[in-house]
Amino acid sequence: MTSKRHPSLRPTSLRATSLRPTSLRSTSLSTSLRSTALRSTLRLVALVLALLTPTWVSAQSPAEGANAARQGAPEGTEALAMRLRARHVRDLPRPETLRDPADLARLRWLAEHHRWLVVRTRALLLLAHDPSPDTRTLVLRVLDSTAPAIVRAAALRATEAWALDAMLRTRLERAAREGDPRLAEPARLRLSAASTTDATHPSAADSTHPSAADPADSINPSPTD
Amino acid sequence: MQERLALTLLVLIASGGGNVACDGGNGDGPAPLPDAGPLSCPASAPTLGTAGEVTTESFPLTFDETGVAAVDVVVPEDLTSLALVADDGLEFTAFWRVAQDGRIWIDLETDPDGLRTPFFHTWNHSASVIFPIHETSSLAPGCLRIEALSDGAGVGATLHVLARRRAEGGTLRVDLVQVGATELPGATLDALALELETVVDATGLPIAIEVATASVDGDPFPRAEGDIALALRGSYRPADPNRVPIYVIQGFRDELDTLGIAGGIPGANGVPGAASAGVIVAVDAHLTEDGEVDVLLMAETTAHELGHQLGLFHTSEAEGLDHDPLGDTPECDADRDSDGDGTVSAEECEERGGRNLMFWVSGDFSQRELSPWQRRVLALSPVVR
Repeated sequence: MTSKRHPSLRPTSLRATSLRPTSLRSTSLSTSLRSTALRSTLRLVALVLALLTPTWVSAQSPAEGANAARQGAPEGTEALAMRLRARHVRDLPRPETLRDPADLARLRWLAEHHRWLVVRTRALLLLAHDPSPDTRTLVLRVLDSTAPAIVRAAALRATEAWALDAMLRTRLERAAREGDPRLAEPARLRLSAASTTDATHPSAADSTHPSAADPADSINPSPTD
Repeated sequence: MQERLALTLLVLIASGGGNVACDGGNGDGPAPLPDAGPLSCPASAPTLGTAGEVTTESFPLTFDETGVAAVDVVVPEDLTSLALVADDGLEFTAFWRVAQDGRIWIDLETDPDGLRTPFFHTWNHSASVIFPIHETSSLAPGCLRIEALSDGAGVGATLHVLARRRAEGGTLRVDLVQVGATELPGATLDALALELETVVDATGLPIAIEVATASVDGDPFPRAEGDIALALRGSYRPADPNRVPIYVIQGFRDELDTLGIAGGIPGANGVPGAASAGVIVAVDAHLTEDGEVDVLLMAETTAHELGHQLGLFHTSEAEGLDHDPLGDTPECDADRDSDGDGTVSAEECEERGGRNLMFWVSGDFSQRELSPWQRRVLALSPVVR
């Protein structure tokens, strides 16, 4: 029953999220609570390891501010990296506030070099709004790399506003064959939409980017550290 | 400002996001709650709970022609905390009004967007509230009228009432639930469980924590928004309903960079299968450059989201303008923004809450501090038994 007396209070704009996938509610359950004895043993082992290798703690701690101070990082990169470590997506900087060339250079550095892949991912998502050749080169390089799927998926998102030229199509076709849905789904969607467009507007097929040569061709294809 | 906060809150709650901007703040003290008129319960109204125990009771929600379902209960003298959950499957629900004699705790009519401290209550899937959520929100003995709304048909809608009639303390039981084929490169669920226990222990909580592991079938790449994530929360129903599930997924299909989300502030705890029951954390968002999981980072994310799930807000929000409703948490104001980037970092706020587990951003140091009242809110949770 809806709130007839107070229609303005109903979250009608959000109702699309309220469908009832009843079949999913009976998802089979295979609980396997494991013994606390095992975990007690693991805890003991962890404690012993921690005592034997005291540097392990600092190496694994979130203290990695020196990360951004690696050679080659543009000045101010560390401060931007800290903002990209927000616990929640809503607290990230907005693309429109990061259009300064210096910020874009910092984002490009973070997209390839930050220790945490979530920071690389966020940097790439923000770079989706930058059409510069430098960013294009970087994004293609990441797409061609062996970086974990989360990073390459972010790079794929960074191409969404690009014209679908031959070099991008090659990457999309490769991504479409990936097992990870974060890569495969958007790639297939883009290719599918393009084929529909191609069928109705043949001249639009394989429009070539002004820089016909693939900038990634001349660059080390494995940029990850 | 308030409109933006309202939109943020509504969107985040819709996505099951346990991250809510907070207005008010402990510097000014909680905003006064409006007075209510005289309120008395019918003689048939049940007295909540059992002396010396923590109990869960359920009441059918029967909606009248205006769409409101009312339940009257009596708060006993020895009640120390209370959680309410309005569950209507995957539908949005909300508490239209929660009132006692002389006091209105929640009033959606005058606060439809949930901007009023200390509850910031608005629509959610399986909407939940807890008492106390700050220093002066303990319920008084006497009649309590609970009025709920549902955006759905309301058939089978239920009000769950978790009543604690004993002092704080006990054990918080958490299950790390591996979803489908989710993998933790370079780590194990047991290692994460150990680290989570370590992080929580370090906060000085006056309760024990027990972390177990489990698994469920399901999509390791759900969407952060929509039915899949909601259904995921419905997929795990432990025999002990008071275990809080932490769903461990590979990653969110739509929000690549989301670390984790809670069901609400608070979520529906003690009601297994409810659409806001449990936290979801993403493995891939915690990978390091060597492709392995940063277990410590993931444990801190999990503990942070668990804090939201049990009723804690961020001590300070990004811009240093909004703070949680608790009076004893340090506030980091905008004047601490020494680099002028518009946000207050953990480092800029190191002495003003930057080391708090519930700070809005991670820092170059561990964040395991909790204030006495943050600890009290957690320790009083009706799922701590």
